[in-house]
Amino acid sequence: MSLDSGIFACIGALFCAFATHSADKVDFDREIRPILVANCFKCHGPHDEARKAGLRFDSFEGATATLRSGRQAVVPFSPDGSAILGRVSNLDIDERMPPVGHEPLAPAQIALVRRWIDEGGEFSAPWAFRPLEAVSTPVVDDQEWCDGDIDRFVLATREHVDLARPKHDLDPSALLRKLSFDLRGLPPSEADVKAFVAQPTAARFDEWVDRYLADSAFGERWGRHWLDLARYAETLGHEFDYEMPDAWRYRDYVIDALNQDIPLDRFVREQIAGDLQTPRAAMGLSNVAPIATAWWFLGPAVHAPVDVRQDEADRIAGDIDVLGRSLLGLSVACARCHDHKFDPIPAADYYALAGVARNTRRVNGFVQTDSQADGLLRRAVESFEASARIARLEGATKHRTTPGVSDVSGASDAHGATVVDELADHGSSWKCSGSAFACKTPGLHWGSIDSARLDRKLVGSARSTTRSVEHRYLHVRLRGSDATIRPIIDNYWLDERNPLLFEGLLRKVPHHDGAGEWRTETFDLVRFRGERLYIELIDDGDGWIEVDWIAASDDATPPDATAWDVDEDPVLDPARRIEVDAMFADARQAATALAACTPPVRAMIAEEGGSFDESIHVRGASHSPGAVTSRGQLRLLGEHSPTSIEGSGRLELAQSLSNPKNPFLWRTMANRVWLKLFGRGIVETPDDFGQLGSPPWSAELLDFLASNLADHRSFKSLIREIVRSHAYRAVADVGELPGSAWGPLAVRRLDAESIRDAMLAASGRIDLAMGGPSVAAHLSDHMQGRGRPEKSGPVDGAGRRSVYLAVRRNFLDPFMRVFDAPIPSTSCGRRHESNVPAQSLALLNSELVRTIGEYWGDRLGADGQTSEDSRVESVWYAMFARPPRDDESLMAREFLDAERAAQPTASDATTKDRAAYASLTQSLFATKEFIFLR
Amino acid sequence: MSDHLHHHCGRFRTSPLTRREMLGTVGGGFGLLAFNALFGRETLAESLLSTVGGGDARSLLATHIPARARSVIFLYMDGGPSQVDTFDPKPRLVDLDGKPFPMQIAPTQFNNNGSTLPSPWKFARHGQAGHEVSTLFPHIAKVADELCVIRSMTSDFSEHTNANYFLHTGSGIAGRPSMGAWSSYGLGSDNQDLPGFVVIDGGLIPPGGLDCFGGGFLPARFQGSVMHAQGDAIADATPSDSPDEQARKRALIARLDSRYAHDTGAESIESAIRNHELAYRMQSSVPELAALDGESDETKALYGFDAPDAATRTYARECCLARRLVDRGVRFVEVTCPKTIGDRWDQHGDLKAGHEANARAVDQPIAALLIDLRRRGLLDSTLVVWSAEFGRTPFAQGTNGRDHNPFGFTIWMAGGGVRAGAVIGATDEFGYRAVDKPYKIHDLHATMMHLMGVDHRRLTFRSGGRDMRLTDVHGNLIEDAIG
Repeated sequence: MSLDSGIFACIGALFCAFATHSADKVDFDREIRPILVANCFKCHGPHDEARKAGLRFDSFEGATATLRSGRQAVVPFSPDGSAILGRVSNLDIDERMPPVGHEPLAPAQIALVRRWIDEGGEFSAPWAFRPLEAVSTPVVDDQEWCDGDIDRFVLATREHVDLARPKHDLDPSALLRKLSFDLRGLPPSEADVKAFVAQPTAARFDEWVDRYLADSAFGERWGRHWLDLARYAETLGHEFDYEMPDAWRYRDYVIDALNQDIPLDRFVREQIAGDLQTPRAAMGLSNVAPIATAWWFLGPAVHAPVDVRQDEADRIAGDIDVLGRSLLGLSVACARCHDHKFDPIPAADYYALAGVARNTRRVNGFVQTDSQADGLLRRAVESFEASARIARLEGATKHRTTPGVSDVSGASDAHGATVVDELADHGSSWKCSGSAFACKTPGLHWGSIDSARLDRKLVGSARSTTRSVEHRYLHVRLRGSDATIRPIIDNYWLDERNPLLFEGLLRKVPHHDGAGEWRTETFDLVRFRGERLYIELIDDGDGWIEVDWIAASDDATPPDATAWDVDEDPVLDPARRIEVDAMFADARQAATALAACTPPVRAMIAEEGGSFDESIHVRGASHSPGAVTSRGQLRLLGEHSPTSIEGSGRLELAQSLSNPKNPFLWRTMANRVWLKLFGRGIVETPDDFGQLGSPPWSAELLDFLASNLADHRSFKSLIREIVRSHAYRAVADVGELPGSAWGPLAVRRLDAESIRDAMLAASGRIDLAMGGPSVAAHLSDHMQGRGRPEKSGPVDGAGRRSVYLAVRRNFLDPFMRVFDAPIPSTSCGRRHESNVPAQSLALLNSELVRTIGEYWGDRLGADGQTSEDSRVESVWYAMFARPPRDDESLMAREFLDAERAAQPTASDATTKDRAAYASLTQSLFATKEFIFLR
Repeated sequence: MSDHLHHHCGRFRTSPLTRREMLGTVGGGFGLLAFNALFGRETLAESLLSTVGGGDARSLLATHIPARARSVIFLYMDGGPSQVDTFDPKPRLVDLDGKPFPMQIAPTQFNNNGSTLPSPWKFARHGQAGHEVSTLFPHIAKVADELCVIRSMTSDFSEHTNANYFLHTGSGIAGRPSMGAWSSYGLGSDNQDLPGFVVIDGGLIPPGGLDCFGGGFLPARFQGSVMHAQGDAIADATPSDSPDEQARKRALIARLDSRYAHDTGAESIESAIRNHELAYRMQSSVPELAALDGESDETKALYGFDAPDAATRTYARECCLARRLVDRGVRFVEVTCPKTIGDRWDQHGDLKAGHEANARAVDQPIAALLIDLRRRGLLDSTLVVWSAEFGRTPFAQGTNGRDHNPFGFTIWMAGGGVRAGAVIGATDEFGYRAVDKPYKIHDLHATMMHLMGVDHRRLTFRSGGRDMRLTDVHGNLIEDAIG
C-alpha cells in the first residue's frame, strides 16, 4: 500500500470510528450533510434554476416549507410526518428519491435520516462557512504527553476513539533532519546534527527552530509552497511558450516577504492590490508591493485569439479559479455558468470578481531602485509645475489653431470625428508607470501627454482611460522618436510577441532627431467594435513620444495634422521670466540627476483600468450578458455593502479577503501550514473547503490554529508553534493505521526540490546564492516542441537551489516532474506523492544524478589524507543525518574496494578512489532513506 | 465559442463515503474492477492509487461493459489535414474554382480568406466498401475496408493549442489529463514492466507541448511516457554502468533499503522498493522492446524502413514500435508525426507540396500497421484512431493554402470493435461544416472509452471539488461506428 492509500485508509477508518462513537445524537455535519450533498442538492440545493418541485433542501427553512402537495419534506421530531422518508424508502421507482438512474439510499442511511428528524431535523451551516470563533482547549486524560494546546487537540481525537498517545518519539538526528527539510528544504549539516544529538533538550530544539526560521533558506522553502498556489511559471505555455522575462521578480518578492515574515494580511493585500497599498521598501527597491501583483498574470496565455473577448473571459476564469482555491479554499470558478450547485456561491460572486479582473491591467512597469530617485522626481515635477503656474498666471500659454481644439471630449469636430481625448487636461486621467510621463503639468504648451517634458532620457509608460470601441477608426496625433504606441483591446497584450490577427495595432515611432514632425496615426479597429480599448504609450529608452489629440471616426482619412499650428508666441514679463526660468532650470536639473540614477527595474505589475461593473454571463457565455453585478463585492464574505467602488475594486477585494473576520483565508492558510509539516492536512482537500471537500478531522484544532494565524498574522509564528508540539516529534506506531484518528505518518517522501537540493548540498556542489533571473532549463533530447529554447542550461543548474530553476510551462524539468513538482496550470495546494519506477530510473541513470555523484566522488577521492572510515561517515551524515552503523561501514568499505578493483589497473589510486566514491554516492542517492523523512 | 468551457461541472459524489474512503480500507494490490464487482460500487475507482507499478495488472473481464479493444493506437495528424483533400470529396468546389466562397465564413485564424479552392487530388472508390480516398493515400486506399470513416467531426477551437488540448484532454485549457492518462488510470497496464501510456515522438511534439500528454490532476504515473523510435527509447532507462557494477549497486541499495523498510514498518517504503526492482527490469525490457532491427526483412519492407523518404522511414519505425507496444500490453499508444518539408499538416500556403510530403511520410507505415496488426491477430483487440485537432477550410488562405477549420472534418477508426467499411456523417456540399450527424471530440472520447469497456460517465477523479472526467459533462456514443 502506498502512502496515498494510507491516507485514504485513515479517513475511511476515521469515518467509521466517528459513526460508531456517536451514540448520543446524530451529527448533522458528519452523518447527514454528506447524504444530502450526494443525493439531494443537485436538484434541491442552492442553485435556483436547477431546483425541482420547489423544494430547497439545504436549510431548515427550505426543508420545513410547505410543498405544493401540502406536505413538508421535514416535520421536526416527526419522521413519519416527514415526506422525505416516504420518498427515499418508496419501493416504486417512479416515486423513489433520488430518482431513476441513481442508487437508492442504503437502509443504514435511511435510518440515520429518521433519527435525525426524530431529534429535530436541525441544519447547521457548512463548517467552512461558519465564523471563526475562539475554541476552548479540550480536556485529555494523558496530560503528561501534551506540551501545549495543539497536543491536547490531537490527543483528544485519539482518546475519542480509545487510542493512547503515540508510543515513541523520533530520535534526535531524525527529528533535526525533519525540521531542517520542513523549514529550509535542505538537510542539516553534520555539525548541527552532532551538536543537537549531544544535547537533545527541548530548549536546544527551540534554538534550532528559531535558527532555521531565521535562515534565508526558509523563504526559499516556504516561498516555493506559495508559488505552487500562485501557478508560478516563467513562460506562457500554449503554442510558442513565450517568456515572461520579469516573472522571477515575483518569485524573489515572495521569498523575501516570507523571510521578512511580513504580516500575512498585508502579504495577501499586496498580491491583490500591491500597487494601491502604501509603499514598502525592500530588496533595494523603493516599493516592492506592486511586484506582488504579478500574481494576477502568472497564468498561461493564448496568442492570436479569434475571439478576443472570449479569450479575456477564459483567462479571467483561470485567475478566479486560482483566487478561489488558494485564498478561500473554494471552487468559486464553478459559479461561472450558474450559481454553485453545492456551496452558497452565487454566479454574482464570480462576476463580482470577474469585474475586478476586467478592470485590472497588466503593465510592464518600472520600479525605482535608486534611493534618490523618488525625491528627484518629486522635485522635478514640483518645480516644473511652479514655473508653469506662474507662466499661466501671466497669460503666457501658447495656443493652437487645430480642429477640435475647442471641442470637449465626446463632441464631434469639424471633420465628423468624435474627439475622444484632446488632452486639454494634459493627460491627468492617464495612468503612468516610471518617470517619463510623470509630469502632467502644462508648460507653455497646449494639452498633451509627453515623455520628454522633464528629460528625454527618462523611461516610463502611460495609459489612457478605457473606452468602448464605437467607431471603426482611431486617429492619434503624435510626434516623437524611438517609442511605442498601441491600442490594447480587452486587455490583450500578446501582440507584442506575435502580431497575428492584431497586425498594425502596435506601432513603433521611428528614430527622429530634433523636435519631430506632428503626424496622425490611424488604427483600423473593424474587428473590435464594442470591445474595450485603452491606448498605451511606451518610452523605455532614450526616445520620447508626445500625443495631443485622439479622435474616433468611421472615416479612414484623418484630419491634416500638419495644418495644426501655433498661432502666437508666448509673451512674458521679463522679470517674471527670470523667476520662471529659474524654476524651470531646477526642474531640468532634478530631471537630469534622475536620469543619471540607477535605472528602474522592469516588473510585471497590475494597474487600475476602467471602472465598469461586469454582467453575469448567462451560462458562462461571454456574449450573453445578464444582470450587472457590483464588482468586488463577495457575498460569501458576508460583506455585500452598498458602498460605491471607484476603481477596479481590487483595493476593496484585498481588504475583504484579508479581513481578520474572513474565516476562509485563515482556515485555508492554517491548514496549508499543517499539511506541509505533517504530510496531510486537517482538511484533506486543502483547495476545497466546500461541501464536496473533506471535513476537518478536528474542526476545533483548525479553528485554534486559524485564530492563532489571524491574531499574529505570521507564518513563522504558527510554524514555530506547531513544530514545538509533541505531535511533531511523535513516531507512527508500527502496525497502527495512521489515521484511525490523528496520528503521525510512518514516512513522508521528500518533494522534488528537496531531493535535488539535498543532492547538491550533500555533494558540496550547492550554490546558495539567492534570487535573480532563473537558471536556464536543462533540455534533454526528449524535450522537444515549439518554443524550445535554443540553448540548454547546465545539467546541474549551476548548483543553484531548485526554486531558481526556470519554470517553462512547455518544458517542465523531467526530474522535478517525476517527483511530482506541479504543472502550473492552476493552484496546487497538495502535491501528489507518487511512487513510480521512473523515479528509480531517474535516480539510477539520469544525467543530473550522475553529474552530482561524480562531483562528490571527485571531492572524496581527492581527499586521500582522510581515512576511509571518516569519509564514509561524512557521506552518511550528509545523506542521512546520522553516522553509519557498524555493518553499514563494513558494507560501504567492501563496496568501495570492489569498485576500485573493477577500475582499469593502469589508473592511479586517486582516479580509482574518485570512481569508487562516485559509485557509492550515486547508489546512496537511490536509497529510500535518502528520499524519505520519518 | 467554446461550449465546453461553460458546462464543466462534472459528476458529484454519489455515496456518503467517498470511494477514496471505501477503497482506502481495502488496501493495495486489490484489483479495482474486481472490487467494484464485489461491492457494486458505481464507478471505476481510485484503488489504483493504492497499488504500485507492478500491481496494476487486471483483467478486462470486469470492465463496465464488455471491452472490444484492449489497446489504442492514436495516430495524431499534427496540424490538421484537409478533409476535402483526403476522405471527403467535394466536386462542387471544382465548379466554383477561383470564385468567391458561397457560404458565410466564420472568423479564421489568419483572416486572409481567398476564393474557393478545389482539391488538387483525384478521388477514387476503394475496396468492397467503396471508400472514397484521394490519391494522397495510395497505400491506405488498399486497406480501405478496415476503415470506419467519420466525416462530421467538429472541434470547438480554431487555434492549434486550444484544439490540441481539446482533442487530447477534452478541455481547451492546459492542465487536464490526456485521454491516454485516463485510459491508463482506468484500466491499468497489462504489462508490469512498461508504462500504460506511451507517446512515440516522431520529431513533432504538438503545439501545447507535453501537456497534451500530461496526467493533469491524476497522479504523475499516468502521464504519457515519451519514447523515441530510434536511439534511447525512454529517458534514463539505459544504464551506463556495466552489468557487474549494476549488480554491486543493486545489492548495496537493497541491503540499506530493507533495513529502512524494517525500521519504519512503512508500506510505502515496501512499494518504493518494488518499484525500484521494476525499474531494473525496465532497463532490459525497454531496450528489448525498441530493438526494431530484429523484425523480419519482410516486415521492415512492409512498413517502409528503407523508403526513399527520411520522414517515411521515421514514421515506419514509429508504427512498428507502436505494434510492439500493444503486443506487450501497453494500454494507449499515441504516435506523433515526423518532420517533413511542410510544417506539419498545417498548410496555410503551398497546400500541394506540404500535404504530399506529409501524406508520403505516413501513408505506407499506416497501411502496414493495419496489415501487420491484422495478420498477427491484434487488430481485433486494438483500436486505431486517425485524427487531427481540426480540418482545413475549403476556401483558400491566400491563393494556395487552407486555414484551420474546426466546423467539419474527417477522422477514421479501425480495428477493435469498430464497424469497418462504414461512412458516418457528412459535411455540406462544400465540405465546410458538418451537417449530417455532427459529432464533438467528447463523442469520440466516449466512443473510444466505450470500445475499451469503460463508461465515460463513470470514470472519474476528484479534483478541485468535482469528480472530473475525460468528457466533462458531455459525450454521446457514435453508435454507428460501433460494430
